[in-house]
Amino acid sequence: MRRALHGLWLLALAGSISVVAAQQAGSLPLPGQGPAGAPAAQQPPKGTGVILGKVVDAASGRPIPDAVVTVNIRAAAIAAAARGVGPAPAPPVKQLTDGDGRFVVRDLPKGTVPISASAPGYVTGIVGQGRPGGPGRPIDLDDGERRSDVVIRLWKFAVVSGTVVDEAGEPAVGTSVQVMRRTMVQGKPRFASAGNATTDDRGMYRIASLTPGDFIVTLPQTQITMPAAMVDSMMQGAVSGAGYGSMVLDVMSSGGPVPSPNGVRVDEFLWQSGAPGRNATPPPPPNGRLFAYQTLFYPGAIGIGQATVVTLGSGEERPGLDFQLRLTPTVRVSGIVSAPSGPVNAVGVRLLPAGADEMGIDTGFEAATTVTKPDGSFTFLGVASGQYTLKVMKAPRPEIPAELMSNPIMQMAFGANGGGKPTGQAAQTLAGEMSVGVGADDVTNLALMLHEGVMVSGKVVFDGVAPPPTAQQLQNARIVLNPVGGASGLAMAMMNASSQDAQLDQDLKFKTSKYPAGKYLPAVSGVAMPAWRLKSIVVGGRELTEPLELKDSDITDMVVTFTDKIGQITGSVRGGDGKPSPTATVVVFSTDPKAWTNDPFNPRQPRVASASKIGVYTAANLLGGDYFIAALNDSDVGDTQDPAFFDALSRVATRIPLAEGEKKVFDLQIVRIK
Amino acid sequence: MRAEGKGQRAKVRTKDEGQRTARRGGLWTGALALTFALCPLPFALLGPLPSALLNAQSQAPVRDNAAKPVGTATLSGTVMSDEVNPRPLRRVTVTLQAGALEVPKNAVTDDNGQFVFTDLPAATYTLTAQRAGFVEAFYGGKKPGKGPGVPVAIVDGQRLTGITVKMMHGAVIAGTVRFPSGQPVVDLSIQVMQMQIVDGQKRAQPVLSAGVQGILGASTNDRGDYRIFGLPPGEYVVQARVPVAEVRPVTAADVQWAQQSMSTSGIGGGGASAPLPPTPPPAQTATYSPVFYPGVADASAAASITLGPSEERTGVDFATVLVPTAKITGTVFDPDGHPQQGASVSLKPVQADSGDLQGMVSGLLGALTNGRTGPDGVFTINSATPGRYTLSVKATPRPAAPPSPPPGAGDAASAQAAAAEQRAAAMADVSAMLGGGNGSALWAMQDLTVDGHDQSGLSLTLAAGMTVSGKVVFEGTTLPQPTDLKRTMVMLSGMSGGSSGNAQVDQAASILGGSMASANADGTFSLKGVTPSKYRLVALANGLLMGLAAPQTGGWILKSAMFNGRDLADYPLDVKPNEDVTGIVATFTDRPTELSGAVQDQNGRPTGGYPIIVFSTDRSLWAAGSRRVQQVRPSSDGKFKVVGLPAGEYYVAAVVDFEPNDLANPAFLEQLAASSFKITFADGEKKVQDLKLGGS
Repeated sequence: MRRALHGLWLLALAGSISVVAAQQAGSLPLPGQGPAGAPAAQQPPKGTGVILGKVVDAASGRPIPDAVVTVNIRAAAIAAAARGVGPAPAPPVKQLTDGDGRFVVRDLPKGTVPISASAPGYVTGIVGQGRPGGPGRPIDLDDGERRSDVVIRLWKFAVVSGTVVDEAGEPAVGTSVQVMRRTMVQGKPRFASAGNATTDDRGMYRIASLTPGDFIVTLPQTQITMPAAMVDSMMQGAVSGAGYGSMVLDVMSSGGPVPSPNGVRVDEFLWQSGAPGRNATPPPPPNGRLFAYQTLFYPGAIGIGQATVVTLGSGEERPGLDFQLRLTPTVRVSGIVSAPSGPVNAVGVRLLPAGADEMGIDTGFEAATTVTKPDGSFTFLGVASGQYTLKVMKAPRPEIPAELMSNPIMQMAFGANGGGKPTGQAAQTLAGEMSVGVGADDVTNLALMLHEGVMVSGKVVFDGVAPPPTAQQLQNARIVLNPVGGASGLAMAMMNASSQDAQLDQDLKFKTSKYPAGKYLPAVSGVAMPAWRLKSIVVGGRELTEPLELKDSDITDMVVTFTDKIGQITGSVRGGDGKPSPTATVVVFSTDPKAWTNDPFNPRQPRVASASKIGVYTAANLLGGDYFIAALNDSDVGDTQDPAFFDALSRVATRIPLAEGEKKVFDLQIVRIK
Repeated sequence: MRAEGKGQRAKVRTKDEGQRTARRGGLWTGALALTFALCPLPFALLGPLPSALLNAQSQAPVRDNAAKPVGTATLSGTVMSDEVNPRPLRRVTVTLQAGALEVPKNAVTDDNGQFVFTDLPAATYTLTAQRAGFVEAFYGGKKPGKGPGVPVAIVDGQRLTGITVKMMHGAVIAGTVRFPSGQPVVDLSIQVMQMQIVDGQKRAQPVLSAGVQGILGASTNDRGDYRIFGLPPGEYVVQARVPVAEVRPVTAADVQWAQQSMSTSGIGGGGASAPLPPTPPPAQTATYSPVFYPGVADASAAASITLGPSEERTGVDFATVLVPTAKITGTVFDPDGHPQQGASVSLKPVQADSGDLQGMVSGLLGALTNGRTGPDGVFTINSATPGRYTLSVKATPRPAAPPSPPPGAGDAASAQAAAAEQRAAAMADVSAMLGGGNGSALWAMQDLTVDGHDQSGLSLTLAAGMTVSGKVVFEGTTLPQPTDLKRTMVMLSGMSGGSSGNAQVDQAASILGGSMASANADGTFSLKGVTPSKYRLVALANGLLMGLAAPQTGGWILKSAMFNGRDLADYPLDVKPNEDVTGIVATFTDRPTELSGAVQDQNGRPTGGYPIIVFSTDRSLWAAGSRRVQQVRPSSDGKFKVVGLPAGEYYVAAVVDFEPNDLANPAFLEQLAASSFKITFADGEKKVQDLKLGGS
């Protein structure tokens, strides 16, 4: 009952937060009117074009009934609204295909028509796709044109399934199973979550939302150690009216475990190994060694390096990915976290497998987490032997708005005089990490020194003759730094939530909030300036070609330059038969391999353009420089996130120099990658 | 994390949006995210407290929370399976909890099913056991999965051994959900609800402890299969909510029209030319309604499934139902008849005949999900599904003279002003959600039945919310007057929202939907912006938690809340349009009544096995949630205590067992009255009454 009610609150509050936040930002199309003061939702342009189409299974060609088809000719308006210009348009009406998989779109204006379709069990597809998740090709419709040959092919998800038992062979009910997609970036593996499930009462799981690719399957386990005094003081704060919210804010803004009464008492700690009633470990022996479950990778490996990579095609099912949990003897790892101003209280401390962050693995994959006591000390219980990185990353504690502090529930959480502007350590961005090797004995006396984050300041330059954007167009512009590999998602979100800065002032200067040391992808967000495009981001006099590395000192000389000299290459594409090809894709990419990425700071990102139905392509929005250009059959277009694709393509591509702002005509013949 | 493929790229964009949202939402969004996260402990504890308030389960001893006594007692036992040949259950989490303001203690069973708690302070503890796939066990409880059990009384230095907890393997409901076309429905959220008798009527109630799945139940996999496990035996209905937005089904007429268009189009595929045939009327937009097994949208037509102990019921298959959706538009006017901009308009399902927890939550969120009026006072609600609703409007009065932007300030200034207004409105929404601070709200309400047809031209005129005010008085003999009157809370809990049949869910709902204020330093209080409805008044001293726990911990409790000769602690307050309520006197006492005693069985041995029900002899006070109808579970030593009954005459009865809902059932109480004895309390009177059970 308790849990249920708690769940109700969580639901209610979580819901309200996301919705309110979205309303506030105006970034979600609301079901009703736009935000106050906004004009009514935009109507889509109307024409007389007609499409009669069909959604089919890519493998069998059979029609798919009850697929939801979305025709989004308002995409441009939505994109504009998302950038903060113009109102959010009403959401497009979705169609439900009939028994023969058919859909009908009318009143279409001349132009491109992006159509997407989704159906249960299938990867969401777009018209013109040649492989699941591959590039699509919007319909190019003439004025009043009527087409009855539009087919959207959908590919089935791949499926993994299996059974998890514990060391005694009993079903491990309620165990969390995670599938990670593996990609190779510059020869190194990187992982991203692709699906998850919990086992049922038979210990069985089934994950069926996998777009074909390479995967690993894992059972993540995190040992949580909570100082019992912290839970007691939270309770007392709630009872006495002194509040407990600030402490919890501090824990959360460092990605630490939220205090909870779960867990069994071990000395002065509450040890949470598994959750109540699931994946619970045996009772701690008196003064003895704790045994715990470690994160496992199929087929039972301890390290991600020993995980078996499972390659799955569309619709492929891989049953029998079974696990047996096993108990591992563990030790304690303890130490002190301090900052230049002294020991750091109530900060989340996380122990990650060594090298995890480079593989894109962070939150959720901690071997152990805990929170410091008032003297800055911390203890992890239940740590198995291995190599780890000890990590702390703390964002400033957010200020509670005065408007909300009259609310009795907020007063209960923060105390009658709570809220207000945080000071001291609470207001600082602090971070630090160190390597820790754990063997058969306890590790004690670790000393982790945190450093204050650094800020980035600089200016934006509009280099050209076009009228620069107005102050109003720039009012939502921000310089944002996104951490490479995701970092601690929660901590970063908190950090961003508190950065009201990084806006442009009247002189186009900006200053970010403080970021912990690390690698970041700088980007400019919240601008819509058709006449201008990013030309370069320069730091220390050198153009950025790799993520920005923040160390121990502020960066004060970032220059973000926009240019109005925007070039383009256009021309015809012909196939081997010499005829114009309407099914070709043209790829334009820099001759510099460093620019073969989609990093937001890279102004020379590869461009992909589809040939029109009369075989004409336009690669627009290009900076001056040396490029490779090549035309491929749609079905030959590989993964444009993978440098290997560009490397292969460069061998058959044509080199083409483009002057600043040059508009070039260049005809192409379709080539094949060898 | 690199973007990869179309689907992945979309995700990256979403993340970017989230970050922008967070940035622009600013500090307070973060703060709220925090309140949400703060919930676990206090709200976990608040959970049982409202029912403690309603039912005064006062078996917990008076404890001083400031000092943490060092415990010397030990409690140990074994968890066994509830089978013909019982076997010990390993890895069960066993939880001991003393008073509601105590942090619970956990232990895990070893391979022999044994658990041990050491260093326990003397107290009366409730003991529960959880293991995924099993029904939660309440020690001493008579029905699997149902509490409360029999509290265990422990004294200092005691070594209590041999406690045996039996756990039942949960029952299973499994099946497949398909679209009408036969395609499986994937990622469908399935919820099971238990059929129970409330006020003599069968009602569906959410199952609140269905193993690891919790209240959200399970989801269907790619084959449309679901499996819900860990269920206690009982009668269930199964409900599914299809996560599909509004859609327009393609009709035969659409396809025929399109085919005709193709055949009449210009020769040679040159496009255009021939006129299009007349277009068919657009198909009705539709969405998948929440659907009950065996495939009906109407809860009353749902088929119930009776599960025996540990039964596995497969083949509970059903299909989804497509229902028409409608667009609702209208205009909101301020009290002076001018269009009101920025009013929040919500469509809340009338809950009276539903125990649908998710529906209720979405109803509570209605005010935040349905949008606001534009400058012309016009609102639009899309995708309304058939049903009975209350269309509810709330707004903040606008300043007398709208600030005109200074000349030359241009769009930026007005954009800023709009943003500020938006922020203020959103803050007010959030504060109201959290149950307080409506401020000087304007309101309007209208019943609305949605039947699949668009409705336009609705007109709602806002009226000022009412003010409910008065003062708090402390009648003390032993306790000092509270120093901080601001920690005294006065709450109005809505009574109109219907009942889910679950006191705690209702309490949460009424707090979320009601209003709450702190007293001022001089003891006066004022709840502003109260909309007309029937309310129950609740007043708590020394903050929410202390106030709710007062009967257990010996704090101040509400004696009466008098208004026009009526006690609002007993009878609802009917707030009427345009009538402020003033002069309420809420009196707290530190001298609550107390009924205590011990229960002995036929052989004269103390027993904790029989709950005691104490209820007023005045039948007009037998309403749901009445403070004059209370139950208490004697602890294992037979002792019981009921604190804080208002002065008056009561029936006292011991029963073998009962359902919580029985207390709201006049027929049950009437029957019980026949086998009760009477007892009368004056203000502050303490009585000891032992009970010896008869031989029957």
